[in-house]
Amino acid sequence: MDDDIDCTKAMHALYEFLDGELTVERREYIEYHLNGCPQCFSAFDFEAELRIVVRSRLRAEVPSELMERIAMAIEAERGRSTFGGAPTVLGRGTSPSPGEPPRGRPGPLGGNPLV
Amino acid sequence: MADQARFAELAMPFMGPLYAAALRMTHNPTEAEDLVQETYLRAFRGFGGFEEGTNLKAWLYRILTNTYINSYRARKRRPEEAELEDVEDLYLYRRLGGLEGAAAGRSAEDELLDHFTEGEVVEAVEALPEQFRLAVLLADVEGFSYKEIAEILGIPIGTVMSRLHRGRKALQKRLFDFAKVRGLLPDARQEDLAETVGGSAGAPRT
Repeated sequence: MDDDIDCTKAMHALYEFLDGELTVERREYIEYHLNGCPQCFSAFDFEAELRIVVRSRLRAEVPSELMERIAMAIEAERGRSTFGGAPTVLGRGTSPSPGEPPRGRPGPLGGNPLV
Repeated sequence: MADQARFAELAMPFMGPLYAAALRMTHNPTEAEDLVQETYLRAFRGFGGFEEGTNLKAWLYRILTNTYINSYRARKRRPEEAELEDVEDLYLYRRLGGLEGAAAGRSAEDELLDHFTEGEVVEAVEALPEQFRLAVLLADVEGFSYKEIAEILGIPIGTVMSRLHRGRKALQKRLFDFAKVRGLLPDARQEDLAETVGGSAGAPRT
């Protein structure tokens, strides 16, 4: 039956649909099916709702002390790059060797920006 | 080339989500703070290589993830991650009574979700083996695309999809276990489950 085929296809595409990974064409196909199929709609709705609940429960407030600490660490690091080689109080085994210019040296990502 | 002088202005707004992710990675507020600080320092030093106008948030998450994997996780020397038990699709939905009678409007299953506490969701997420946990966090909490997650984690898109699929199902199973323990299920479901699976955490029916 056509309906069953559509339901199977819709369920198969559920996560890609919710993740926004479908082409416009496939998205519209699924939306069309959902509009006429309360069972599939209900399942999709549940999964979307679950994601909202999970997201809302995982929020975390940044300790204000951490924000200040990082701002200071960056300032200290900036001083190093301007004056060169000044010791930092904040290195946690990540400091470059003395005198090495921080600027332009490959970062942890090898300098490759993500597109 | 990005100007280091603009680093703070551009990167600081992402500290909230980065800290939240760090908490879920390390399970520990002190380590999470250290991880975020180290991430920002590394990002600042490497900022010259960041191309302004491209995805800064994804770039920061990649540094966070790499820093975590390379230092924090290595330091802990955790045992080999356990394999995830394979459970069926729509695990939670089916067990909360969905797909049996289609309901109109906001269904009982949806309302049941509101009862999950922060502690339960955190515990369910943190219980996921790391590779699945990272994928689920990046997709479901941070809203990154498959392609971005593939780049952040350095894995193929197909692997991202399968980790998400399995991680989400495992998360649902864990949440269902909480719902069962707390008696959140509709009475009929609770009795039904007690009879069929003997309360053994919802083994798939055969």
